Amino acid sequence: MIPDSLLSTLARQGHIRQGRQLMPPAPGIDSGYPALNRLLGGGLPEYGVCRLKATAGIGEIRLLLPYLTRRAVDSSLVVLINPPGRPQADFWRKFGPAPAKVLNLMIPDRRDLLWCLQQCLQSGCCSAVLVWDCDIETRHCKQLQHAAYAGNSCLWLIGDQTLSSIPLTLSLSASPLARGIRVWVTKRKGGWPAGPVDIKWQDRWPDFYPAVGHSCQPGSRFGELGY
Amino acid sequence: MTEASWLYLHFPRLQLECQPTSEAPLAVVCPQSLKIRQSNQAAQAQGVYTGIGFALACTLCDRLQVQPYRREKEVHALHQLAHSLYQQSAIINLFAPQGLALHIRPMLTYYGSLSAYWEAIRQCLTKEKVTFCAATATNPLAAKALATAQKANSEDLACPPLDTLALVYSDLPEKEVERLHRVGIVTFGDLRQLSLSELSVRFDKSVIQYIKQVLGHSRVQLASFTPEEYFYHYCELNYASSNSHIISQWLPHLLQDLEVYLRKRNQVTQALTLTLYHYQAPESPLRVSAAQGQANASIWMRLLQVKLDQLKLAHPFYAFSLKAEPGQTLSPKTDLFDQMGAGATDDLLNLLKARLPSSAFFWPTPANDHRPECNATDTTAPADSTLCLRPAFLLARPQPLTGPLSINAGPERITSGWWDQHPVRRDYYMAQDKRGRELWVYRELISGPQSPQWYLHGYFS
Repeated sequence: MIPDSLLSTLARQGHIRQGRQLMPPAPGIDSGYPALNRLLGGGLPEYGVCRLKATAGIGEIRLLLPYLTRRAVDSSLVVLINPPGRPQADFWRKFGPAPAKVLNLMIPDRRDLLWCLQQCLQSGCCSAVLVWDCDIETRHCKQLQHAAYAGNSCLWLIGDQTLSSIPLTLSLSASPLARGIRVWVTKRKGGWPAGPVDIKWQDRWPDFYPAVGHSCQPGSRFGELGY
Repeated sequence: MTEASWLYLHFPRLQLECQPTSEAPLAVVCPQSLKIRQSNQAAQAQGVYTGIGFALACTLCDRLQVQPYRREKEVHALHQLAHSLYQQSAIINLFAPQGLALHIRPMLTYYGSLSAYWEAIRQCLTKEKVTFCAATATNPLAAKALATAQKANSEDLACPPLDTLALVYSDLPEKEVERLHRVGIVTFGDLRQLSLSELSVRFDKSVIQYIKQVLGHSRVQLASFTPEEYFYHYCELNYASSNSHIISQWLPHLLQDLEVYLRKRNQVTQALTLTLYHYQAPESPLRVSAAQGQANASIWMRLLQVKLDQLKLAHPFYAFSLKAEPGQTLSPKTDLFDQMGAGATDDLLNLLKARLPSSAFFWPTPANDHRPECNATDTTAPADSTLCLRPAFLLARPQPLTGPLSINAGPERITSGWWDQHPVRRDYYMAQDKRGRELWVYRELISGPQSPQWYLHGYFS
């Protein structure tokens, strides 16, 4: 029988871990969405290798944008590797980190890509690295985790393909809703899968959804416009 | 000794010492006379000394590696030595291919005494790992004769007076020395006893000219050394190699030299070119650049290492050279406390540029044009308040649309570019497809024959 005083001492020192407790491996940064923060127990991780499973165009950038903006302080860069298209300057000027802080790289070769990820993460001047449609192996993942920790950076693997099981810091999965997005935590270090949580775009991104009565007819069928 | 104003440095093994050191016995042979001119320690241990014939050398040492004597190689090495010595001594004169004459007099006011000056020179030569013989005299030619007779790498400059020195150590041709010997003139002192007008009857003009100069009766013509405006180093290997890692062993030392060179001038350089020379193919240059300029050896090493790792050599190379672009003066606004700031970003970009082609990089830049695909850098871009809603990612090439969509907002008509060759007349809509993707689509209003009217141009992500 362990005396109560010893148990409480151990618990205070953080030597006892309980299954229902959340123990995020990295400090959380406000994601800009209170519901998501609650689900994650603080916010999106400050450093690590994370995954966002989402089809390009459903709002995956808007989901991460408050977090990216908050992280892109001083002269640090946000690196976008192999995104579905060229980043459009006006969008980033209006909503996100200044275009001068956004670097877009197109790297078709896989060896170059892994090398580049490692360099960017450990340099200490990239606040986040977003890479699309990249499958990495466990050993690469571990290496990149170390690099991200050294450079206080976060790698996000974005894409809708299924990845092999790798030791990720956090894995999110998103699916579209009407004017919103539904997010699951599918896997995370120091916690259990959770969700879903529904995020409505209207509160945060009113520009994207003009009020009804605008010149256009929301929801009108494409075919009616003569296609 | 106080009146001595010239220090002469003689480098008897310059060709051997300007290339990577070798454990194997190595000798340099004069291709005309077939006599050994220089040999390394391994060769000397087996009896291969300067002056012996090639055939004898081969019998003494069966594994002897032989190189032909090449004057231009020594001249180049001499220039590099002069470069390093230039930090210690202001006036350097080249006596190609194996000697340097340094003017002591002006430097004494700086160093205080000859011994302090000599100590500085000696340290520099020891660092360069060359064998040297040194002597001082009142004129450079006399110093040269004395130095040639000196012991190698000797610590003190004390040497016998010129008058007791045999004429074998002079610059006179062997034949003339022999002729002088026959008439009983063996040392420089003997020469001094004779009147030059008598000698000029029996010996030709160049001999008389040399005697006048070495005895201090007439001035010596000197080739003064001026350092190059940029950093350049050429190095030849003992053998051709197809392994680029050999260079990696040499580079740290070379880059350290570069750093010293630049720091002394308070400069940085923007680009380095490492060139590999092949026997059967044109040379292959590797260029690395640092946008903001850089002097730090370890940063350049990292950039060059990236290039070398990628390098696939089709042919072996026998030599390499490193050239730095003319340096820029360092701007005074270097911030001591900005450790992780702009400097780190520049370093990262330099590193990425060393490996990735320039087409891989793209910076979104606002353009003063309504056509979305125009990305010209323009400083007069509209202010943030007037920005229209644009997608996060724009496709490089609009794709014809397939499948039904529902329109969320629009249209926004863009009609522009009739003045250049890319007119645009489109109605843009925000639309959503079945998979929930929010797309930026447009209807083409300039209709061509049978071309589809609707295109996908971006993702709102």
